[in-house]
Amino acid sequence: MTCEELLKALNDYVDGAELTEICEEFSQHLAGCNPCQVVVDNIRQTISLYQAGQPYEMPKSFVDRLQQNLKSRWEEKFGSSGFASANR
Amino acid sequence: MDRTPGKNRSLRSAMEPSQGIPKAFMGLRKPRLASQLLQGFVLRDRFFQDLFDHDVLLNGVLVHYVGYRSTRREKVTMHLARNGNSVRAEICLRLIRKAKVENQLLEEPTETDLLHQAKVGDFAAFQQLVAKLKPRVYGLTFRILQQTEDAEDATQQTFLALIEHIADFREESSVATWVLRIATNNALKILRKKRTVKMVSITDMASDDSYSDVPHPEFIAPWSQTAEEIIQQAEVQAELEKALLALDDKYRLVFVLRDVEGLSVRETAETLELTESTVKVRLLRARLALRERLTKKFGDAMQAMTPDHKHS
Repeated sequence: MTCEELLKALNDYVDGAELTEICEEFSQHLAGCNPCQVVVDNIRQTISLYQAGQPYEMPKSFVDRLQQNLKSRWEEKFGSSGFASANR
Repeated sequence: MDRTPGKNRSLRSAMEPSQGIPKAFMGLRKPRLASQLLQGFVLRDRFFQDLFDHDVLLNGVLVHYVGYRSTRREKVTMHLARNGNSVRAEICLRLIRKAKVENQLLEEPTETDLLHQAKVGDFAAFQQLVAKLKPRVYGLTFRILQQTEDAEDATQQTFLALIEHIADFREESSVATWVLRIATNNALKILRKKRTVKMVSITDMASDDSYSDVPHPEFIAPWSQTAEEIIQQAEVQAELEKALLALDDKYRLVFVLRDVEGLSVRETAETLELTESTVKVRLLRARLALRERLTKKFGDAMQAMTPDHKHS
């Protein structure tokens, strides 16, 4: 397995791609190569860490402004009839 | 829509337990359906007050509504809206929402449900959709732009564009993916304006878009804790953001869309106007760079290892 093949395989393997020939070869390699296995684990953990992160807090002033601006634009497009339900 | 107190009182008395079908429903064209409907419900005052207030409009329509799943309900709403019955359509939508909230009869509306309702002019549904998507849109634009005001601008532009183009959604992807793609484009416009001088175009193929000189992993060590444990720690979030910020724009974009937001490689490629193979190379570089940095922080140095082979 060349370096380029290995790196391509690493990406596909992390993404859980269906077992292509390369992936097959890569899994065989992983079975006998602890450092490579650890790199795969590290990458997967890195991705989970970013996915598990908290959503950013939006400034309150922005949330209010956004709400107001969306409402005005909606009114321009649909008229004010669609608001009865939202305002009650 | 005025409520007359007298009506409400009589309704309440009609809703006393063990009275069978409430009198308020006897005038419905399909009382049998109405009674079946009621038997399965947890009765709540406010919900039935509303039913009563609109009982003229209810004939047939609401009875159908409550029993069917979302696609059917949407068809009825669309039908009403198309035939100029926007008031009825709106009242039905409101009653459905009330029924959902107060009686938990129906499934939580999906983003697609909400989009369909917004398409026929339901602002409350649109607001709900915005509320669901806002954290992701803001998070995505913040991660691309790394600056609060820019992220706010991009987020606002995204939802204004959503109002503008709400009729154009073709259901080729999920609503979220569609909105995230609009958000990415808005963020990119801002990014391009800011980076005109120093930024190589992110959509051009560059010399480092091949596998030939991808840096090899240097510090290899198992992490001492799981991602779930690590994320609970103070300051970790800031550390993650610093690591992202240290990436080149072009790598950060691909990582954020593909790995954080979960777009497919193809969707990421289409959004950024790149080829899929370029997306894959950049993704690999981003992943390896972040892995290197985070492993230095979270890896267990006692168990550090070096590969006994060199892939070159």
